[in-house]
Amino acid sequence: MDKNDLLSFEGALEQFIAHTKSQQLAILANMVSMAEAEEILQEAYLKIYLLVSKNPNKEQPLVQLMSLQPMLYSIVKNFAISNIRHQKVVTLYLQQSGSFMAESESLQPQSSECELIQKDQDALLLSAINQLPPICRQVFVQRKLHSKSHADIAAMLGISTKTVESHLAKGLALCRAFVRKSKQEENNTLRANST
Amino acid sequence: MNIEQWSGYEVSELVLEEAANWIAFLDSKSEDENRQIAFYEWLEAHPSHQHAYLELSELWAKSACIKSMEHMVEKSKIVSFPGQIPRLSIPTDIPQSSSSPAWAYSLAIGLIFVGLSLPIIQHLV
Repeated sequence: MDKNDLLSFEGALEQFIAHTKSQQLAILANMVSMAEAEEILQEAYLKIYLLVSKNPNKEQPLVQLMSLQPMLYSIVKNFAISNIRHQKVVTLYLQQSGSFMAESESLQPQSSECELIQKDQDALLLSAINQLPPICRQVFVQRKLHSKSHADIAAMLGISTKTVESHLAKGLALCRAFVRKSKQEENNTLRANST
Repeated sequence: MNIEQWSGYEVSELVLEEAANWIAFLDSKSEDENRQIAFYEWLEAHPSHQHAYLELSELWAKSACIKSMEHMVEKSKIVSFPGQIPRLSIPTDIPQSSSSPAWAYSLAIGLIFVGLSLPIIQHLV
């Protein structure tokens, strides 16, 4: 991005923020504190900025940014949900422990709870990778766990880089379907148990 | 109520497939500017494209975070690599041979011949 593009892009970003911020803050106000809302918005704008700044087409940056409003909304919503979930874990722990200890004392178990949740998510993702078709799994593991480049994987397997790309896309879509199905089954079980 | 129902959007399988293809393309670090621009045009074209891209790119990023669990990846069905040499670099004019070297056959035939001849030699001696 040259200097003119950068100036034009930053101007567009300022306009984009001015146009969307109050609306996003109003939505967040019902979910998190004002300070948390500001922090969430900062992170969301940064994500959008990093994405759009990589577009080789530097024309009409404001139009580009404005067309990504649905994505901004989703990013903000995801951050807010993560925040609320984290708060729920903290509250649950404090309720179960039966005592409201000093923050420093509660930090260790709280992070252990978060670690457990993280491990659950990782285990689900691992199961998703394990159910991939063999060659697709091999390509996926080499790329994501061994950080091999597409060209390296193609050379190792004697296939084209285009085929590597295709296996990765297929692997990702299958992992998503597996994770979604597992979560739906888990939700159904929870619902059945609660009735 | 799950998150998808709460947020009020459903993304079609076709859009998810397109998003996965774009993520794999971006991951290839291709310098094809036309395709990069095409990705942004696709992304900006519809909110469902943005939802699909966001969801899959987060899953894509998370899948790199399980390196510590690599030993738990199912290996039983993984096809082993055909060696480090690319298949195309093998000269095609060399006849296909099995894993045993050619001299092994001559040696085996020789030993069988000697083995069969032993009773005759003992008889003569």
